[in-house]
Amino acid sequence: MPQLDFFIFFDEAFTTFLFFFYFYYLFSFFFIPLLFKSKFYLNFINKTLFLKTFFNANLSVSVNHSVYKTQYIKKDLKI
Amino acid sequence: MIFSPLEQFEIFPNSFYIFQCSSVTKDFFLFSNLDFSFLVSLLEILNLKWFLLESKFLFPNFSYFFLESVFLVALSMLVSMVGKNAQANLGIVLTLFFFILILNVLGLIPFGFCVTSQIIVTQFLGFFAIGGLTLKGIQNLGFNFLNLFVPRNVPAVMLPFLSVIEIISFISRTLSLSIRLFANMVAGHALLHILMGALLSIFSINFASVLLLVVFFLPALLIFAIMLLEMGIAFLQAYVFVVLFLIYLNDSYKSH
Repeated sequence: MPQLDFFIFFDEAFTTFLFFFYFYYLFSFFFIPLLFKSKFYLNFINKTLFLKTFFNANLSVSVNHSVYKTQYIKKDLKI
Repeated sequence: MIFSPLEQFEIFPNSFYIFQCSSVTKDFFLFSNLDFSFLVSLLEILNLKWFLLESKFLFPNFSYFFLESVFLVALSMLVSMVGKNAQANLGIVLTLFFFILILNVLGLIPFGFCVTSQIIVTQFLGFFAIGGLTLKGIQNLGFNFLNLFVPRNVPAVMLPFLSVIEIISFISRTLSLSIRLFANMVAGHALLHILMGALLSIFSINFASVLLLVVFFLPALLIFAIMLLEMGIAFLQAYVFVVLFLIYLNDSYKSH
């Protein structure tokens, strides 16, 4: 059915769009800040002006115990 | 009963009948097997959050260090191939890598659906990757971005022809990125399907014979080896996509 085929095509493209950008949001504002220093994170946010405009409220996400835990261990054990 | 090897890539719209409230909505709200695979991939990626946040010990666990090393490798690749000023693109690089890797691996799980075997999905990824790089190049280099289409040290007579070839090669980057991923996935899954069909037909002849047991296990070992190869290809395709993305990203930052 040609009409339904168009909807399947649209559904695939739209679903890919939604999930890809949700992945991008997760990586940019959740996983990278968790794994890197907050200085790098702020630098990253400042460079992407588009994202800075829309997700400015999420800056506080960078404060997380895991990041400090790793840094603390690395500093003490000189890994 | 013989099934076509390409039957596994078929999309069934409204597989779960979730949104079929009325005859009007059933054509507009599709929830296909592809959408289901995407949802599973989302659960996979949210597992990362669990690994990163829920470590109850003083030392971060193995997964934490593994992920940290993957992220650092991606960052070092970005810096070495493009430059230090391109660090802000780490998010899109990691997203592309994990997105393609998780969808490829999900297709290899039994009863899973390989999302990257759909040409529209890979075409979307390739189109937005190259489109985004073009916009980035115009933002960084401005008019100098067009130097990409003008090769250096070429006689003036040849320049129009070579420029046309360069423009065609630039446009075909989208196709090459998408078709590479799509063709690898379709070929791998079709091969596995054909071999598995042959194995099942051997199995259905007569299992009582000891000779047939040997005949059964040799192809089973072969299929296991090809399954491992497919796992390697799933990782390799994600890696190749990211490396090519970085090579193309270099053109958006440096003009010759």
